[in-house]
Amino acid sequence: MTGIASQGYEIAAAIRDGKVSATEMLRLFLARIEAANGQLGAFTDVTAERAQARAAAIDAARAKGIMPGPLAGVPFAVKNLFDIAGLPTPAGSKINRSAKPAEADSILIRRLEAAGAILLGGLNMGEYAYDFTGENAHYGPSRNPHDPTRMTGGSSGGSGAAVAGGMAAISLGSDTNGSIRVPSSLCGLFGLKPTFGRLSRHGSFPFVFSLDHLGPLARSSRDLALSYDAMQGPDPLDPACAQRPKEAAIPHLEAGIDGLRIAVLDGYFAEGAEPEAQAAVAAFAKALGAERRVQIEDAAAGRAAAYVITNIEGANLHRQRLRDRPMDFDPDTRDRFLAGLLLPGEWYAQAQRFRRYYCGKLQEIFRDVDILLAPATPRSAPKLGQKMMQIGGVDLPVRAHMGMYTQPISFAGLPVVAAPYAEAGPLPIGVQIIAAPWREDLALRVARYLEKAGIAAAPLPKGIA
Amino acid sequence: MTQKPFDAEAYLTAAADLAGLSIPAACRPGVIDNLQRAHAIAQAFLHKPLPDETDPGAVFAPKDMP
Repeated sequence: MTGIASQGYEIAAAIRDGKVSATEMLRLFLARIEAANGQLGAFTDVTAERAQARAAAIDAARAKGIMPGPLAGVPFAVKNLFDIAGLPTPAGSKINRSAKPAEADSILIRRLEAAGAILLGGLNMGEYAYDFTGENAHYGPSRNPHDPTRMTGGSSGGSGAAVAGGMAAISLGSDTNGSIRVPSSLCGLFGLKPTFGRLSRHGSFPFVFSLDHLGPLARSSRDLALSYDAMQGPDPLDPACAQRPKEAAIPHLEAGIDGLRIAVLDGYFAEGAEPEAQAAVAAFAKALGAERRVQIEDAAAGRAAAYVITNIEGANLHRQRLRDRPMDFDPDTRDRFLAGLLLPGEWYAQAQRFRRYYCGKLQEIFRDVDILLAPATPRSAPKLGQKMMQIGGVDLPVRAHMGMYTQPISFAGLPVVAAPYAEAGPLPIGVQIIAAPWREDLALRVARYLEKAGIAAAPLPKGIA
Repeated sequence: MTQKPFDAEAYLTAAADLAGLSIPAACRPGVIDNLQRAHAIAQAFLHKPLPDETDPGAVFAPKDMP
């Protein structure tokens, strides 16, 4: 029976086949939000009336013989840095909550709705996306549905909590240094960070223009691919959006792994991960027959340069707010932003030039490898409020280090699927499946192969059906 | 040659003066910590020699006038 535990593609098929109405499916999800959101802190805004009108329109169209799109009636929600017409776009902040409401939906919401999906509302996030924990001083933390005393990871924390908590089939997040992949790992979800420039960012509140990506989180590789395909396409309104035609992933999803050269990242990516993260990578590698190990020269330097670009560009974006209203920032972001206003411009120029050099080194690796595997996070979810964690026997700040394996990958703009390990135990953990630029199709194919083999899976927590 | 240790507090005072930025007293310790961290992190890439022809990648593209 189709319900909140169903995948998005199953919901769409049931609605297309007339087995259930979009209105009835929506009712189930709104009831789940009502029951669970108080505990999980996923949604900051629920657009119930708008969703009900959309569902009724889909049902009416279907009754007239108009077949809805590939995401017919699939309930989705967005990190609250995406513009939703008629609502302010808080981006996790108190300051932006008082800004004027958005006049239009972000382009990715419009594209998902054009494919039949139904928007449920805006989701909690770390303030201004400068976060790997999912905690927020203004709105409270998003909580991990697998253990609500633990972090979702961030900054797309509500995007993780909503889908892992059965409150939406698909969510959208943003990923500047790991903010889709970290919550995907800690909440046990599939997450796609596409190639830098693949999906338009128009109508979303920025963090770091040089590094911001948008993408979906879901409970299957098929839902990732369906939503990704629906959102692709050029957009002159985002200057970083590549003016490439859509390159659909769905037609290739079941192609398997024959002919793919798959390697495990060694060196930096093999150091410091806790046993659960290492076990997940080892299981993926074994299932894929990946015996080769390769190193990214200067991965630590890449992460460092990403840190500096993030700190300086992010601070610059907020320069006036930091001068006018510093005490209205979340204390966990404010002092980092203020420091970013003071760093030397020469560091920024060097970091950007280093990025180009670093991407060249990665291009060489992809001459004879198609897919790289690496941990998504160094460990499973820490406790809420936890400031320090032990990684490889060393005490490190949680907020800065949950992205230690994601940051050197997004710095090069590579597409990544974070896929959850099926045998992770009570707390989920994920693995990054990394491809060459513009080859999201390959990362999704590998994720799908692992899903079919029972190595990757994103079950809902016990008690949700 | 041994490099002089980075004095984040003195740097904060001088750089905030240059930027015309008033740092609230309550934020100073946190900003100093973050300057120390940024300084330590940046060492990982700042001293990598780069070829002169390594450009930063960003290209400003003027739009057609309407």
